Amino acid sequence: PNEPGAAVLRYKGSKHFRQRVVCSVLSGRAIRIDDIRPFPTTTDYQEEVQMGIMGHEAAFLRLVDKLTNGTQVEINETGTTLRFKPGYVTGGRESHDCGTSRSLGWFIEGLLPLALFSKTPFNLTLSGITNDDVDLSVDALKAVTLPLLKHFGVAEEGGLELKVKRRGAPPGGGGLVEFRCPIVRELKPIDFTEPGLIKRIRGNAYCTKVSPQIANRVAESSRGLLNRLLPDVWVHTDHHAGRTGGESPGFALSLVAESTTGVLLVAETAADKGTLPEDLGNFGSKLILEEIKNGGCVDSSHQSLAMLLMVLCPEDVSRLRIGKLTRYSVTYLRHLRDFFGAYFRLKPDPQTSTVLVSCQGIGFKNLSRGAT
Amino acid sequence: AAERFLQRKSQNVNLQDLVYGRPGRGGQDNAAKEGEDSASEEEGGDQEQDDDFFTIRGGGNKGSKRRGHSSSGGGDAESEDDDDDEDGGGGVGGGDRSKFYPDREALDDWEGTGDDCAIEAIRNKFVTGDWGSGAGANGAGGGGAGDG
Repeated sequence: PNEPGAAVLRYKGSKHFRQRVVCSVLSGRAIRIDDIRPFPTTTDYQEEVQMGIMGHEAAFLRLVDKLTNGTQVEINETGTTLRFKPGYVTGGRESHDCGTSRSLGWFIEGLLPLALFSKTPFNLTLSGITNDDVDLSVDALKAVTLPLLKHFGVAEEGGLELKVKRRGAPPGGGGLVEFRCPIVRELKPIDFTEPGLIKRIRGNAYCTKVSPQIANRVAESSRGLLNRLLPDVWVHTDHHAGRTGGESPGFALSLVAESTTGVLLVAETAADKGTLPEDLGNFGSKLILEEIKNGGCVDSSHQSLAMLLMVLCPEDVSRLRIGKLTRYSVTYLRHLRDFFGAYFRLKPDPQTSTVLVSCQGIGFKNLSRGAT
Repeated sequence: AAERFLQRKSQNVNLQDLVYGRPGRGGQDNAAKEGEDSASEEEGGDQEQDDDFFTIRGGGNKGSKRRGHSSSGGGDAESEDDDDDEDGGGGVGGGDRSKFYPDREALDDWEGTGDDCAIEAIRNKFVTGDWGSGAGANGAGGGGAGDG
């Protein structure tokens, strides 16, 4: 599937932009996306019309361009058509301003698979928003996403790291993180089907440029419901002010449930304008209960990443138990089929209302990594 | 119990068909499902199949069936529904977010108390739950096994 000569894949619309670009780089297949937020045919001109690719998408393309060699990007004048011919991932030390339209989680989550199959390890300094309510926050990445990679045999010798230097809440951003990721020759297939029992819940309530009491109130209220089920609930509080606090005030909560078999489930929520800390904490605890109810060995936010990595495994079968298949994962599965020719077997398990997904890896190897 | 049975039955729809298309629709789909090894042969046909796919997605039979499935699952992916209506506005979500974000309204009533409240239903997923109850960790999802 890695032949550069294969036909260009064509897509329409702005959806799943990041998936497509990342799959394109990994598979070496060029893509063309048309009608990215085209000029609307029916509109009252009252509302602001957003056309073409948006700030974060452009920033993502620039970042991918920095980290690869030989990538060709063509965008038409209105920004509604993108032609993308992927190059090879070279990695290295880069710093990049990710802007403020999407948080750093969106960028790092997208880059992770590229980082693993790079020529040299990624060493990135990224600035932007660290916590928002749209994407995975840096706390979730640190607590759940990076440990997930370990199941695939990544970072047994270390070097996987995400350091939060400065927090940045929307809309101003101003956060700063350092992201380091080791490279692999190939991944290890997973057999990750035993969810186990939840043994503890850890959390992180952060606040920036507001009273430190807010984080305490969030942490306190998030424990209420959870303590009915489990005594071992600990929510860390993290207050930032001044230079490490970014540009805007904000606070957020991220909760991680840990099971006896090493399953990590994350749920998180961030404050909007006027959110009460108590409500935030309470809502966060409901979200994590929701994840626990769904079951599975990865939470809904990590289904897609796990599936992508399963496809990139050696030619052996990987098995994974997930809760409910999310909408996002369904499109991801279709993209994996388009780019890699990979089909998953999806077997619902009505007894536990989970789904067993399995697929055969395509035998993906990191060809650009130097011999060691 | 009858309700639960129905829910399980509705979840038993063939997920594979929902994701990759129904087998009856075209020869290619069939071939693809039967053997992964035939993947190389259908390389040529791939493109065509995709176009097919993208016109269907979003509306019609398939979409509604999928939606039916997810709502029958109870309080889940419904909010990810920006799949269809996103192109014009280009909201923040942009359809490109992996983060799970259920509707506030669709959440279970976790505040409830009593023997059959939402919290009791998942109690056996915790180490503090009832370990001995037959299906154990796996069975707890159904919420049936617990005897208090």
